[in-house]
Amino acid sequence: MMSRLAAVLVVLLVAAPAAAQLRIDITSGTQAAMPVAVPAFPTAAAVQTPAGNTAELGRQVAGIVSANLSGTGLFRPIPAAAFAAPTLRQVNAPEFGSFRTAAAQALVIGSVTANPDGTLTIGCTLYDVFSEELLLRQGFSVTPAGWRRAAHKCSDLVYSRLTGESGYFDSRIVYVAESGPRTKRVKRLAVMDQDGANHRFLTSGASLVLMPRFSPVDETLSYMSFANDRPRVFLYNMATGQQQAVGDFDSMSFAGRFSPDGRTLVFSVTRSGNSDIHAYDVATRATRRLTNSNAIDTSPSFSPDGRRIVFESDRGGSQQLYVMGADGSGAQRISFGDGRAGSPVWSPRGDLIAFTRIVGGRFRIAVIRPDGSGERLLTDSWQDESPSWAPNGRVILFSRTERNGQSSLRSIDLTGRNDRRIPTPLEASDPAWGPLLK
Amino acid sequence: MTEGRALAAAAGLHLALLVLLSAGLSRHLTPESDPDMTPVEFLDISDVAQVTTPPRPSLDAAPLDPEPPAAAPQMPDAPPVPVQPAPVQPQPAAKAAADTAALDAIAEVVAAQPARRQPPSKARETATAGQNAALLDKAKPKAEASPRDPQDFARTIEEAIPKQAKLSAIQAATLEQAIRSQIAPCWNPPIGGADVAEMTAVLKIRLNRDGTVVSPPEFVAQTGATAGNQAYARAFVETARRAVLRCAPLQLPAELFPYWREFELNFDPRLMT
Repeated sequence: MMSRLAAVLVVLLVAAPAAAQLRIDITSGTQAAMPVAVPAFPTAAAVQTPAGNTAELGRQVAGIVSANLSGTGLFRPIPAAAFAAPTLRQVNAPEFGSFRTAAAQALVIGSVTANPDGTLTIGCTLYDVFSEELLLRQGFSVTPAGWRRAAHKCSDLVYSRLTGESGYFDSRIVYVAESGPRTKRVKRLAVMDQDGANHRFLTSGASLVLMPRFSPVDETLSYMSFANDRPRVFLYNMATGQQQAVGDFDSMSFAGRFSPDGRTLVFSVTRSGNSDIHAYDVATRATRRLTNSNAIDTSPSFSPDGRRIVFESDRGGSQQLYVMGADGSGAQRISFGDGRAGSPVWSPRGDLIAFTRIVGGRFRIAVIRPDGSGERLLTDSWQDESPSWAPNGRVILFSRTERNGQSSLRSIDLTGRNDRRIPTPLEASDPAWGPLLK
Repeated sequence: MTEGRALAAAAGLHLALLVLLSAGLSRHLTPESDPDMTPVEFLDISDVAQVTTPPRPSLDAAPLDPEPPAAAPQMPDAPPVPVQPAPVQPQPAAKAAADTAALDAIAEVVAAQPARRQPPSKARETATAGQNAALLDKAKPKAEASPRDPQDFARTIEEAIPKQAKLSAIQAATLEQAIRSQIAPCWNPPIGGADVAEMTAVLKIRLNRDGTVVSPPEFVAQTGATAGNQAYARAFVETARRAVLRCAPLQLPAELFPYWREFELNFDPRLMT
């Protein structure tokens, strides 16, 4: 009898979970942009501030967040007409039904408050519309002049919370602004926010400038200038406006780029047709030669851990990518296949190197793993070059030249989607994306 | 051994089993296995706002009253109608027009939504009723309340077990396909992440007979999560969870309910990258 009972028990125990054993693999999904609602951030009281009326600011902050998210190609802001604008009290207790009806999956809402000390507090809250969960809540205190940064920081938080990747909106872009006829081109350094706002020129255009690059740690740029007819790498302090030549070479130096800690600058020095890569210690101003070949070695870029450098060289007969130790040891070719490969940049994420693939007179942006595997073309235009990574290693900025000679800045997602133009007041080339602002 | 004693023993064992099962269930339901619990630092700004906020009454009135004139030159923004019942006749018409316009604009997406999500401005009561029903659903106990009669114990357990030990191969394939084809279009995995190649997540789904979810999908397991990608791993699980909530209620064959009342979904985007 007991054994029969035991048998029954065993059957029950085995049978009971049987109904729960159904496990289904979901191996496909959509890649549609996620619909988000970003209503105007309400304000406690419409107050006039140096940055404008707080009610109007609430609309503008929402507009910036909306544009940032939309620009990623991963989110689709829903038109404000599709839902009722929340009141200040609803920031903490939204009516989710209204947003579900509008098919929003996430809700970004916040508030704008003018403080008695003249600062602004901009709140930023993110909800999951379906689970009705609060995903994040953060407030930013800013001076009226800094309100756009609060909107960018809010965008970064939202992006980061929903994608799991770090954001890139609170950052700047430096590039070469071009104007004038082709034969007598004026090139000036210009810097702007990642969305094109706060644009300003850094140099007058008296001397030709090329290849500006941000320091990852402070307000310093490196760039190449033809000042005094001696093409050299310079450092530009954006806080003080001070400029300083790097090293003292009797010949041309170019293609400067900082190490991830900002302490070292690597660049090429050309002597009698032979270019080699040098490292410059920003603090001690000491220079060290890293490569020593009879070929053109240039475009060095550090890995994010600072241990390796990718560069281009024609030492094997044609322009290709090589990876070596940060001390110049053990260079290995990583690019093969059709055509040439140039201007490599190591992703801040470390997993990929972006570069320009040149085949049959066409320049296209491509990525490759540091071990040389997985090469992938991202763009398919006539002349795309000078890639630069967004701080999160997800988006690549580059310059595009049309057949009519017009050049502009563009960005593209790592997945090869969302090729979009970055607005600039003049023609633009040679961009570099700066680090996230502190 | 008498039959009475045997029955008593059987009842006792059933009881023990039920306790065991429910203990296991309650362990499953504790939120500690939930990846959402990763501590996030929140700076509660509502307090800050209230310090400088005027008294409540003006708070409510301020955003609403000045808004219509401000919004008028802008665009046909959805007006905050419910608060201003005075101009009864002209408003519903205008409101209906605005609603239709808004609805037209989003018709495509709304069509994909389950019918229970009515526009609240149009049929507010229905929506609230629906929400209440949803709340009731969530609050509904997962098993029948414990009956006193040992016979009922036996029946409860029996009911929990499918009559048929196994699904036929065709039934299983059909059911899997039905679930997959309804979940996949709602899943928007973050495939651009650096660690997507190794990332998968398993969720446990519990459904009511009408295909609505009994409770939010429960996290079971995840691969590819490391100390360095916690934010991404969490976002990944959330996309899976959102897919289920977005697609519910699922339309599944009623006769197979014992098989789909509880099942697991393994979200694996590797083929998509």
